[in-house]
Formats: sequence, structure tokens, C-alpha cells
Amino acid sequence: MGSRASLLLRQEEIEEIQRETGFSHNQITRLYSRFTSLDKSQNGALSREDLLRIPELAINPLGERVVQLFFLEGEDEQVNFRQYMRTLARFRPLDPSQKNDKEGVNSREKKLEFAFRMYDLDQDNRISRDEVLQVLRMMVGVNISEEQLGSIADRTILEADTDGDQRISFEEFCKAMERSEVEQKMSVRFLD
Amino acid sequence: MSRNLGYDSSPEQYWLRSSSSPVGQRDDSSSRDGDSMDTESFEIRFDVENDCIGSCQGPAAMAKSEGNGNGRNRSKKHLPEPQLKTLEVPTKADVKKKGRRWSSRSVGEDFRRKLFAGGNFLDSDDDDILMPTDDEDATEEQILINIERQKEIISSIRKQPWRMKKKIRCLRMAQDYLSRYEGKLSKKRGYQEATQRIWRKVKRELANFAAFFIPWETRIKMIESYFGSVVASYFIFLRWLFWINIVLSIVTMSFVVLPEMIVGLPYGSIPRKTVPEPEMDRAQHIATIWDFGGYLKHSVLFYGYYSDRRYLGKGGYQLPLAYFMVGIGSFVYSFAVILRKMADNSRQSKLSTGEDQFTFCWKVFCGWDSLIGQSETADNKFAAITTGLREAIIEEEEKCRVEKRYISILLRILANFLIVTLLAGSGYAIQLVVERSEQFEKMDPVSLSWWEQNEVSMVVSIITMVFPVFFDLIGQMEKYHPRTMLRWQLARIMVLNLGNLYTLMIALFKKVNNLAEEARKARTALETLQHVSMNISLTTQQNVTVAEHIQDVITDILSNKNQTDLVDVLTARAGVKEQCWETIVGQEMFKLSVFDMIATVVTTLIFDFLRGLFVRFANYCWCWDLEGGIPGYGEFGVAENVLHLIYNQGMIWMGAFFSPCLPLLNVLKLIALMYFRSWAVIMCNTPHQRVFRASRSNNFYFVLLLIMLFLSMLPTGYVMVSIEPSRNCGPFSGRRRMFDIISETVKNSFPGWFTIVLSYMSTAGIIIPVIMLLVMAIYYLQSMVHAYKEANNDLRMQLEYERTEGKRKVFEMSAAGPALRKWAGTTRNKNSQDSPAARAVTNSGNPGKPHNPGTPSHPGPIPNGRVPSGASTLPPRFHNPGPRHNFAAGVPFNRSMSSKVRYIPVRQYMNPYDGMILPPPIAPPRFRRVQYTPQPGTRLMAVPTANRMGGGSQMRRSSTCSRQGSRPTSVLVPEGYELVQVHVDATDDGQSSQETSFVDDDFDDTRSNRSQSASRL
Repeated sequence: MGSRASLLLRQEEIEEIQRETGFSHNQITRLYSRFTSLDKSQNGALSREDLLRIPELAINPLGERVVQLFFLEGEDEQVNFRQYMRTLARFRPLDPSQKNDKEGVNSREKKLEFAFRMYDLDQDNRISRDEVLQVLRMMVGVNISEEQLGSIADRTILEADTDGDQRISFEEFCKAMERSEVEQKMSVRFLD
Repeated sequence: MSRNLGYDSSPEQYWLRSSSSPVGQRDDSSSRDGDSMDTESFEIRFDVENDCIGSCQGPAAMAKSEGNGNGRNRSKKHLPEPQLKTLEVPTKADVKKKGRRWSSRSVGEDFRRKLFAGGNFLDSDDDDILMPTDDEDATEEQILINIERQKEIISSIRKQPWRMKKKIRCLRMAQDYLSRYEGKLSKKRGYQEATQRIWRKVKRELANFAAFFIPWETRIKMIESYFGSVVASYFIFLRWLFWINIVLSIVTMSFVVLPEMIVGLPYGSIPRKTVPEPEMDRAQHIATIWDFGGYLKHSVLFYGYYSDRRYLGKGGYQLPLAYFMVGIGSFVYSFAVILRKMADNSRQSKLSTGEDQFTFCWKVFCGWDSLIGQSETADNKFAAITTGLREAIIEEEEKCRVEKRYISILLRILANFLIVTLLAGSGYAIQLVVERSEQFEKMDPVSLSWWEQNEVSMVVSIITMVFPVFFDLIGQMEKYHPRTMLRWQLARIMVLNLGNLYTLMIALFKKVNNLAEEARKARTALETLQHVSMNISLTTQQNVTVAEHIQDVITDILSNKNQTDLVDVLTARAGVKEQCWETIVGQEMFKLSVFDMIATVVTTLIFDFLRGLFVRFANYCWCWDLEGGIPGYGEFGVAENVLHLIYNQGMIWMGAFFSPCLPLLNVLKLIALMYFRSWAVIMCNTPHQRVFRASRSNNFYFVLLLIMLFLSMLPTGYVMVSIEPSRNCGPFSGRRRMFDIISETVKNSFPGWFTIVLSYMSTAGIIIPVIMLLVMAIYYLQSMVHAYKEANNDLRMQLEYERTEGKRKVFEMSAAGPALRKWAGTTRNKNSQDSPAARAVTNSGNPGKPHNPGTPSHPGPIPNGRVPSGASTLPPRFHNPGPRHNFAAGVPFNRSMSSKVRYIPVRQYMNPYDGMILPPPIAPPRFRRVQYTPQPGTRLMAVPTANRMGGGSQMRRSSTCSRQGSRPTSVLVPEGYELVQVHVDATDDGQSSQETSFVDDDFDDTRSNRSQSASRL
């Protein structure tokens, strides 16, 4: 499995990705083999459906949003391996020792930023009430009445919004998430 | 210690990055990477043309370039110091060997080689790969670091884009170093490292393993995710009680039950350990077993079986003393445990207050945990998010609700009235039942129906089952917040349960007293009889007819010398049964406990399971919506269930003295309850309509438990000190009071003075002062607590204030961004040079613009060309503009040297106030410009001023060779350093040669201004 992947993947490419994402050599080859197995059409790139077959994303109620973010890295409707790795790197768990490390792709700031983009559906750098509502609907389904969802959305905006524009900007988002454990929740275990 | 932290990924990552960057070949993707690096790094630029000696890279970068994560603890120190430590400094031998060559090599190359002497940055094809010096007196620490570094080189040398020749040489040198020094290093050291690593791993694994063994953890978590924290709190409470009962039963078993079984007399040896003759034929009946009569009654289960001999067996085990001490000890232990738990809880609740500033934001934006990879867990998490949101909504709704005061007050009065009536009714009913049971007692047990036999426990159980439902209905009309409602509900059920228990206890004691009364009557009758008959037989022999009947008795009596048997005989004759009342109480408690379990199971099956089945399946053919309307599915009643647990525990505490095996029974019962309840909850119940969050510290449960413990201790205490124990059974038989065992022991086993001391201690003269002292202590502590509370509040407010205020300040500063830009513009004009850094500061608002990879630019926190609006104000916070700007502004940007620019990430620290990135708290180095005309055969060195004074030539940190030309140039020298000209060619011993220092105080005004403003940031 790994040998096949490493055959297809050139050494320089691995190094490049390693440098860019901080994954280890083994992880990259492993993820590459997973990439190829996800790639049903065998054209070296993944489509939306392929990505949603990743079990972690399939069970994540916000999985579609995450998938959407894979595509933000590139322009077209396909994700190549580099883009795939770049997005996955955001989910690399943060080593407790590098907690104050700001530079890594998997740093707390980068994770926050990724989360922000996940909720910012129309990509205008503000999370509006409607966007919160949509996210809420994805998260709780039909278990909570629409009216209550509305009040939750209102409360959420109210809590985080400091400049009074009824929307949440990235700074406000960061401030609200300041003492939360985003870095732990936005992590996926990758095998070594 | 911290050496291995962060070792895994970062050094390698950095290495690859920086090994490619000097070459200047950046493809598309790596330049993108470079962008993101720019955010966190500021550059260092060596401009050969101007002979600039630069030294402003961050200490962390330095440490990283060393190839280990040692920079972590150093990054907090000031700038120049760590570099001095980590830099490889050529020793004299080195200089001797290489001094000539250095003079002829290009300056930048030389400097870089020295700067990154870790061996990782050997991107030139030179043959001088710097190995760790052969310093004989290097510390073990140093050698260890070097060894690790060499190992890393070996492991990753294949990935280097070098020539094979160089790779081989490098590898050889590394191996050579290892072979030389690895042995030198004391083995202990290596082992220590290895053990530490293994130990960390083992510890983590153990923690995982331990979590696996917390009983019912997953079960509780699952229930919590579906039913909310309140329902889960019941199960957590149950588990906690389970642990208490485990301890209680272990203690009782090991100190009371097992000794009795091992060294005590066996069954059937004495009358009290044998089933009496008349009961023998019924001993095996199911009804007898159900009553815990027959063989069970005469077994270790109950008080009556235990022997009263002071010393048991060969070892002389003092069973009565042990029995008494265990009885007291279990109360003391329970008290201690509950109080400790409460203190713990309140401490936790203190810690967790003030965190609900962004409740909804957290719930919405970081609800999902991406680590979840299992679909079942995902379902649970999904449910948990929903439940959590619903809890939060309820909290919010309750905060906003306006009360209609008069109506609700009226309703509440009515409700309380109804509840008092109900409580009184229940008390009366129990009283009645117990009285009836006394009558049944006198009748023949065979003629009684099943109901009549079990009336007491049945009625008590039914009341405990049914009344809470009424309470719940009544409570709903009070319209409290659900949590307050739960508390009221809990308090009421508690009163009900206590009332029941006490009525039962009082009734039982009455029965006991009656029994004792009868026994006493019989005894006095016997004694007078004996006395009279003796007189008769001695004095009036002729009056035989009168005494004939009595004589009969006497012969009977005389045949049995034993005093207790005397009573037995008499009671048998008089038709009075003297029973072992302690055993009766124990039996009653045992029966109650078992019956309670059965009732729980039955009612749950009927009210939850069958109802659920009915609702589920009859709904297909019913005329109204069964599921949504009446009856609907059952809800899990937290209040009654928690109270049920407390009540149950109270029964155990009350009965444990009379039936030592009761805690063990309770352990089994709790296990069964845990499984049964959790099954019923998941199977038959729906989550509450209004899910509310359990308060973080469920101290209310524990307060109730404490009250219950106190109240259940009272009867036992009363029995111990003021009721005469049964004369013919149990460990205390023959003593006037159970408590006497202690005074007996003190008298027999302790020295005489101790008894005297004790007797003094128990006089009023001592006791009253002690009580007063205690009261004073309580008062003092109380006032202290009050003061601490106030101080606590003040501190919390201060913290809150500082947090918000600190944030405000940072935002103000970010608003000052435009001012800074303006300033940048002025400096640029002043210098009349196109400084790229200044341009970068100015342009940072629109990073979509393509830029030179060498030009530092603010990329904006969000790639893809989109920048949040606030980003334009970020540069002063994201960068340390001070040093870079100084550099760039002072030195004309040279395009040809741009490929030599290095990016060195700087470890930055988290601002405790708002999580924004700030530059490390380093005073930005200041530079002065020194005019200098190079002389052939000399080289320049920057030497720390302080060090030069001290004369430590080892600390020389950077050097640059002069070029052959003698054109005057200006050199920037960092503050705290002195420029020294060294004649290298003159002698081999360069260090001792003539040194000329240039001291120039020409500080650039604008620069010092700039650094002031930067340090203010």
C-alpha cells in the first residue's frame, strides 16, 4: 500500500508537502494511498462525492462545509493531492509543546481561521445571522424548533458582535473563541 | 527537560524550508508558504555590499537552527544572550587551522556558516562542515545535544539536495562524532533520557487504560448526550454512592463478618445460633425465607448471631469492640467522604464560574469535535449538541421571563398547603399500618394473608412511589425555574421519605419497648417467684399444696443453672416470647431494602416499559395521538430517583448496625439499579421537554445526603447509648448499654492513668470550655469565610475588568494602525530611499498584490485574496516592525542580494488578553552606524561590550572579513556590541593580535523613536 503510493509520489513532492504541511513522510504516503483509494475516477483528483466518503467527514454534520473548504484552495471542482494535504494539515493535532507556536499550518490561529471560513458560507468575511442559522440547522437537524434556532442565532451574534453590525467578523470570532478548545476540537488523528 | 518538546515536527519542517530558501528557487507553492511564514517571521538580511553585521533573528529561530527544540525556554530571554550560547564559536585550534581561509572567503558565506553552525544548513559545497567542537570540558548536556543533532543529521541526510561526495563526508563526520562521544557520555544519562521517554508514554497509556476502567463511564456519557446533564447527574451520583458502599462493606466484612465466621462458634452450637425448636418445621418455607426468618435470621446477616465473648478464638479477637467500632466508623467515614466531596464540588464550581460569556458562540462554533471518527460516537455527539443547545435556551428563557407575582404567590401557598397535607397523610398511614402489624404479630402467622404479613413495607413503598408523582403535579403549578423546581421537589420528597423512615423507626421502637417491657415483667415475675418459692420451701415445709405449682417451676429452674435460660423457661411457661429486637429491626431493614428494589423494578416496568410499549403500538389504531398527547412516553424523574437513592442509603446507614451485611446487599442493589435504570431510560423514556443544565456542582444532592446521614445516625446513636441491648443475643448481651463496651475496654486494656484522664475529660469542667472553644472557632472560621468570599469577588471583578480593559487597549492600538502607516511614510521620505519594509507596512492592507518573495508583506490572516476588514489594522500587532524596519530603512535594498535573504520564524507568545499575535517581548535591537575603512589582512568582529570587558574571548559572536579593497564603508553595529578589527594575517594567534575598536555614538534619531514606539506596542 505504502510502497505503491511512494512509487507514484516523487521524493521531492513528498519533501515539498512535508515542508508545507508538517506531516511526516509515513503519514504522507499513507494519506496518498488513501487519496488514491478515494479517487474513484482515477484521475488524480477528488470530487465532492469522493471527499464525502471520508468517514470523519461523512459523520460530521458540518462535513459538507469542510468539503467546501477543500475547494477554496483551488479554483476548479477537483481537489488534487496538494490541496487535499493542505486542507488536512489544518486538522493536524497541535502538539501540546507547541501550544504557543504560531507559525505552523496547524496552529491555533490557523485552525480558528479555518473554522471561521467554515461558517462564513458566502465568504464575505462576516458571519451573518443567516449563516449561523444554516450552520445550526446542519448541526441539530429538526430536533429544535425553528423559532428557538432563531433565538440561538440571535444570541450568538449578540454575544460575539462588538461593533454592532449584527455580524461576526474574524476578530470578533477570535475573541469569542479565545478560551475555547478549538485547537483540540479541530484536530483529526493521523496515523504515523 | 524541555529539550524534547516540539522535537517531532518543527525542526525538520524548518530545516527543509530554510535549506531551500537561500538558493532562491521558490516555486509557486513554496512562495505561498513563504507568505504565511511572513506573518510570523521577520527577516534577517545580510548585505555584503555594506558589510553589515546583522544580528536580529529571534532566539527561537536560532535554537531551531541548532536542530533541537531547546529554544523553548530560551525564547523568553532577551535577544543577544541565547545566541551567544548556542552559536558555535571557533576555538583557538579552529582559528589556527582555518583562519587563513576565512580571510579569503566571502563575508556573507562566512557569517551564515557560523550562524547556522548546526550542520543543518550546509547548502554550500564547501568542505568545512562544522562539527561540534572537540571541547574536552563540554558539559554532558552539551554532548547530549550534539549527539542528538548528529543523529538527526544521519537520519535525514538522504533527503538533502547535496552532492553525494558531500553527503558521504557529512555522514562520516556525524558517525565519527557519535562513535567518539556516545561512549563518553555516561550511560546513566542516556538511560535517564530513555526512561523518561518511555515513562511519558507509559503514563499516557495508563491514563487511557484507567479511563477504560471507570465503571459505566461510556454508559453515563451516552445517557448524558441524549438526556442532558441532569439525568446524567443521577447516574453519576449513583456511581459515587456505589463507591461508598463498597468501602463500607469491605470494612464490615473484614472486621466483623469474616472474623465471626472464622473464629466464632459455628451454627447450632448455642441456642442463640440455632433456629428454635418450634420454628424448625417452618424454617424452610418460602414465606419464612421471604421474611428473612428461619435459618437466615440465625446467620451472620443479623445482629443476634454475633457472639458476645470478649475474646474470640486463639488470637483473642475482640468482636464486640470491633462491632461497635465498625458501627461508629462507618458513620464517621461517610461524613468525611460527603464533606470532602462537597468541598471538592464547591471548589470546582468556583473555578468554573464566569465562563459563560460566550456560551452560545462556543456551542455553535466549536460544538463539533473533529476527532470523532466513529458513527456511534457521532450520533451521541450530535444528540449532545442538541441537548446542550436546548439547555442553553431554557437558561436564557428563564433569565428573561417576567413573573406574574400575585398569582404565582397564591399558587405557591396553595401548593405548599397541599403538600403538607399529603405529608401528614403519609405519616398517619404508616403509623396506622405499624399498629395493625402489631396486632397481626400476636395472631398465628399461618392464618394471615400475604398482604397482612407485608403490609408495612408495602405501604411504605407505595407511598414512596406514588407521592412524588403528586408532588410533581403540584410543583408544576408553582412555575419555578426548572432547577429551582427540582430543588423544591427534592426537598419535599426528602421530607416525605424521612417522615416515612422515622414513623417506621418510632413504630418499631415502640414494638421493641413493648417487647422489652414484657420481658422485664416476666423477669421480675420470675425473680419474685423464685424468692417466694425459696422462702416457702425453706420455712414452711407443710404448706406443700400452696407451693406445689411453684415447686414445679423451681425444679425446672434448678435443672438449668444459666440465668438467661431461666428467663427462657419462664417466658416459655408464661407464654411471653422475649425476642432479639435488634435482629427484628435488622430484618425489617433488610426486608425494606429488598422490597424497595422489587418495587422499583415493578413500577418501572409498568409505568415506563409497558406504557411505552402500549403507546408505541396502540398508537396505530387509537383515536388520538398517544405519543404526543396523553399518556405519552415516560420521562425520567430525576428528583424522585435521586431521592430514592438517598432514602435507600439512609436505610442502609440506619440498618447497618443491626444487619452488618446490609452494605453488601446495597452494593449489589446499586449495581442492579445502574443497569436497570440506564436500560429503562434509554429504552422507554423520552428526554425532558425542558432540558436544563444541572448546576455544575450538584451539592444539593450531597446536602440532602448529609441530612439523611445525620438523621439516620440518630436512632443508631440512641440505641447505642440509651437502650438496653437484648439479653440473650448479639455481641452486647449482658451489658447494660452497648456503649459500655468502650468503658470496659478502657478500664481493662488501658493503663490506669488513662482512665483517670478520661474521667476528668468527661466532667463538665472540661466539656463546657471545649464546647465554648469550638463555638468560638466556628465563629472565627465563619467570619474568615465571609471575608474570603468578599476578597474572592473583588478579585474576580478585577480579573474581569482587566480582561475587558486589556482587550480594549489592544483594539485601541490596532486602531492606531493608520497613524503608524503615516509614520512609515515620513521615515521613508526622510531617508529618501525606497525601503521595502516601509512599503510593506504601507501596503499591508492589500496583500492581493503580488510581491517580491524577499519583501516582507503582511499576507492577511485569510488567504485566497480575502482579508477581514480589521486586517489592515493588524500589522503593528502581527509584526515586530522595529528591527526589520531599522534594517531596511538604514540599508539600501539591494536586489542582487535578495536571494540571500533568510526567513527565520520567530516564536511568538500568546497575548493573554486577546490571543492576538504579538512580537516577543524583546527590546528591539538598536543599531549604530560606524564608518570604517577596511584594511587588508584584517577582519571585523562584533564583540559584546560587556564580554570584552570581562575578557572572555569565547563569547565573540559574529565576524566578518574585510574585502581586499580599502573603500570606506559604513557598518551597522547592534547595540551592546563593539566593532573590533582583528589582524588575522599578522600572526596565527589572531586573538591576541592588535584590536582596534570603533566607538561611535551616532544613533539615528528616527530609529530610536521608532524603537520606542515599537516597544510601546
